[in-house]
Amino acid sequence: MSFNDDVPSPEELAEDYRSSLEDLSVNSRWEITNLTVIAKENIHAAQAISKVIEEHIQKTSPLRKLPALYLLDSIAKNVGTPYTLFFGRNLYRTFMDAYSLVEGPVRRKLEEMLQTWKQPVPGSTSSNPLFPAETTRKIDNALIKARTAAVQQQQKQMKQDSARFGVGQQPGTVATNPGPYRSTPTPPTNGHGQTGPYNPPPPQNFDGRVEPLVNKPTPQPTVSQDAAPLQGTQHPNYQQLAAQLGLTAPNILANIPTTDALLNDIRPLIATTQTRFAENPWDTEIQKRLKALLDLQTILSTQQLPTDQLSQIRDQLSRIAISVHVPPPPPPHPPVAAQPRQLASLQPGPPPHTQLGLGQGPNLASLLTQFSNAQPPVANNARNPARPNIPGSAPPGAKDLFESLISAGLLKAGSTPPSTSGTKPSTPLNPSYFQKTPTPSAISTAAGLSVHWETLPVELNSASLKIPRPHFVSILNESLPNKCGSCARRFTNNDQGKKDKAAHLDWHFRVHQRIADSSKHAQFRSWYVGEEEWIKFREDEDDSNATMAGQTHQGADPDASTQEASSQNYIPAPNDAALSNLTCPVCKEKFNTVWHPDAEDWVLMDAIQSGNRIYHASCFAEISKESAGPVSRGSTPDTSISKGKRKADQDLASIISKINKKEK
Amino acid sequence: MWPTQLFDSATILTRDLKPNQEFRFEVPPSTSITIRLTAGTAGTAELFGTELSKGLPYTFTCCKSAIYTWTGCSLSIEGTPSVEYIAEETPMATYLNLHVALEKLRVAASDCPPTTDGAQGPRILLVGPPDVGKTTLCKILTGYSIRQGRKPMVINLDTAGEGVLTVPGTISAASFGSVMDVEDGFGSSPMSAPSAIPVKLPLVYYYGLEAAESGVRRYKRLISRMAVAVNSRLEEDIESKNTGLIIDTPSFDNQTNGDLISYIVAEFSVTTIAVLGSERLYNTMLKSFSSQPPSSQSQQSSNVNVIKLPTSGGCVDRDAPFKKAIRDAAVKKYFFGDDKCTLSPYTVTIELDSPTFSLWEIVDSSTENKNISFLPIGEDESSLQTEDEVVRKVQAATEVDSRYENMVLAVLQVDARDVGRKEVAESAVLGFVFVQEVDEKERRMKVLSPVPGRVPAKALLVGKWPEGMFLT
Repeated sequence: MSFNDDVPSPEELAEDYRSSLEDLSVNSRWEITNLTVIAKENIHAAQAISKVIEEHIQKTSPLRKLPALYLLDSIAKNVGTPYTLFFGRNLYRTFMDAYSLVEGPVRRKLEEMLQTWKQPVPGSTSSNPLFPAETTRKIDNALIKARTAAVQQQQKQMKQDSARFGVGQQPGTVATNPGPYRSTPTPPTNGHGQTGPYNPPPPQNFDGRVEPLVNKPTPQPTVSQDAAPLQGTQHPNYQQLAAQLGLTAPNILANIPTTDALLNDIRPLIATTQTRFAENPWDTEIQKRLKALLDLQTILSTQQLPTDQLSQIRDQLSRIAISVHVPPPPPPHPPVAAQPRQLASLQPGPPPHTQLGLGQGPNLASLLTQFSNAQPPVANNARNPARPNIPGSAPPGAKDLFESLISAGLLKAGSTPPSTSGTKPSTPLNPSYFQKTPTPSAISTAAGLSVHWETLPVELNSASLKIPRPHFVSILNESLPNKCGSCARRFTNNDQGKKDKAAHLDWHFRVHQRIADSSKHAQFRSWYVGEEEWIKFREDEDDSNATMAGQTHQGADPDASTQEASSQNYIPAPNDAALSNLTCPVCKEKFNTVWHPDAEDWVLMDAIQSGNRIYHASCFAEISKESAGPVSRGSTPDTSISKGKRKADQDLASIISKINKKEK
Repeated sequence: MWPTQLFDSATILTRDLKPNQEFRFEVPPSTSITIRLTAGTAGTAELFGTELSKGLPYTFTCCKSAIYTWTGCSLSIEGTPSVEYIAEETPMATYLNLHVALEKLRVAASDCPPTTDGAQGPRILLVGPPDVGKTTLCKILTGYSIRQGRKPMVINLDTAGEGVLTVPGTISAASFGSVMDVEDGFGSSPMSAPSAIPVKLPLVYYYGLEAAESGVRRYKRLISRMAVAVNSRLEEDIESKNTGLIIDTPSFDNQTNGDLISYIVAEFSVTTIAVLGSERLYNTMLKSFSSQPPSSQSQQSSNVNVIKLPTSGGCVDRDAPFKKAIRDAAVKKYFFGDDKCTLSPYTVTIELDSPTFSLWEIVDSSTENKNISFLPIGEDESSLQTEDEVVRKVQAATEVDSRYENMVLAVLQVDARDVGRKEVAESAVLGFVFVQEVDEKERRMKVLSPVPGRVPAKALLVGKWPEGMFLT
């Protein structure tokens, strides 16, 4: 198609590359090296190729994600720029999307790889890390947050039902598991084998010579120790992870504070506070606040602060901004004494922290202590964790500043309006995103803007419609202020809205996962429905009652007729052609495959899965009844597993709503 | 005509919009552009009422579209639109007023007991000449009410356009309870594949002609049939009832359509008629609906509110090839899906001599006189006397030939056997197949079917619209 056949266009190259990626199914050193060479030779198409790789990582099945990420790693290390630039842009998303979908062992491999990204490429002249520190740090933060959530949930589960996740709670498991993989150094010593599995390599020149591995830095002990809490939860809630990680990724990408931006943010605040101070010169609160702000300005313009400090300051500035914009008199702040308690309830229980602290380097431990003790107002300290490559603690100037801000009563979590905290459940990794742009009208009520519709002046006639009314925009956007980051669907800020949004994010995740699963199968348009069915059809069940794959449907539709009730059990139709003709082992009849609007999938109606076999639900019920003894015992494990899944599924919603309540 | 840019990075444009500005762009068929609402900046943006998410890439191909911002925003555009500019004059303020006025009525409706007439939300009919932005306004109003947590019922009566959730040449109704697709108009009907934007389930009738006037009798019958279904559904679904209807129409710009508009108004109990871009039509509507004294014999007419709306400067005349490309794309999308979700239609053979083969043809009364001699033998005589001929059965033995190749056939909801003309004329649609090849010797035809397996033994209906096309 091209104007020049000798030099294929980036589009063509990308297309070729895409098809080669399809074959990258296992961790093969040969294939990854080959693909790396291709990427190196076509460096002019770097953007297209990196985009293809990112898309591939995102779309491919969880089993293939590791080799694909290893390819990314290999290209970044061996070719370097411009690939590192292109990958770096979306690195958080690429990594976290994959991370949230893969199994525990693969996660550990990814974590090991992440550690190598924080260091300079061994043997290279540059001392810069492979990817910019703020990129990898963001991923680190997300991982730590996820672990904390996992630990929290695990503790909760432990209390609720110690039998269910018995294995995961054995302290012995925690202690023994890190051993094997800690003994695998990073990057692994796999330099010479040409057919073995790929591991994130030291850079090598493509004349076949491998850089001596002597220079290889020793792996950070923190890697394995970091992962230890995760080890304890061998049943992480994948949905929860994705709701927290994958789906909020775009927001987080938007969030790199710079000193200049912060200074810009401060200036109007100082101006406002000065005005306020002039009006109320006797108000010590305002005076303190003004002093704190001025101090902050000085610190920012004179000192070079690490990024994590910057983002903390930014978060706190947003809170100040909110409280400053609240019309006087300022709303009463909850008593300061309440703060530590509130914080304590937000924190994961002490055991994981202790565990973390014991095995870690002094930096991490001291930072953690500092965060949890010295700076109580930073409610979400889990997202500002220590990172090994930032030595020492916060500069004293900043620390003093925080204290003065605290004493000024500005930084309490309680001063965060309910509406902004309402966005936390959906974006728990980055609550500051929504706090950054508070909308005054949105924070006026918990459930969103309350509009007195009957008094609105607009009438349905041509003249009235012509008058511009700019304030109507807020009606449009802030009646439902709580927006989904993925599809811009809006929710209220009250409890129901939060619940709906949690369910909605959950739905996003399921769909995301199903899209990933479905890409390997042929898909097709469904037939439309007839009038009667259409009249009965309701769309609004898409994200609340839809069920998980492999789980029997427990429909609670009150309108469902008895006939429907008997056929409510369904399982997703197997995609395998051989399975599509299967029959019920009891009655030897075929299953009824239909499109199920709730599940948004083709399903076998009236079917139930037990072990590897699929039965008609009614048949299964009969044989279970007839032979109560052995059959029911034989089916016990399956049932309990599916119950466990279902329970875990429900737990997610309740956990999220609980977190909401706590953060309020 | 091949895209000549070798380095994409060179073609990333950034456009900063001030509040109340609109970024208008045109993308010809066969190329595409990607637009992002720049992450990390304040401000929201919307495409015809549906909000963009920050940082997500939206890809557009073959469209003339616009992104509006109330707050000001920054967009980055990858690729080269054939036309792009920032417009300051838009009718959006008026459209927002219209939305708020409608929302006011919806709030009032929600406050009424569900079974009373007061619970009926506003039902707005959009009329006007071609290319004044009727469908665009329909999208905007739909998008806004979804954003407000409403569940509008959208009814598309425009058979000449690209169709809503289906192929051209149809009328359809669907409840929009979830966000619309920014990239893809009204979105997609259900598929076997999962979709990141929730699918909408339409009720579809195949009209099969371009102009509503060509087969106005059947057009009216389909409208009545659909109105019954829609009203029944609204009675059972209080949320939809409170929200009301948004009805998009074909281009009505002259006197002869007055009768048809009155018919639609009556069938759907329309409460508001919004006239876009035609002063003359507005005055006609005023005369026929608003200015009648309440004592008039038609009580319903007196309740109808007629309003005039400005049309956007962004409305451009779309030339015939562009419209054809859009229609073809709609049919293609029905069978093959889009970039986000590729569908695999199946080639299926239909035996022409099978007893379950029953092909019917829509009679275009504007070009054909009814001719009794074409009627199939054994047709019910009584229906002949009372019914005008709007569809006729195609004789499988003699008439099915290559002229049906490359046409879209509607698979109706009624069974092929023993079906009468009346049922065929009014039936809803199960789906569509595309005729690839008619083999007269072997007495069979090959069709592209969206769903695997045999094409259901339903009556098939062929029309003249959408016109024949080549699906690769």
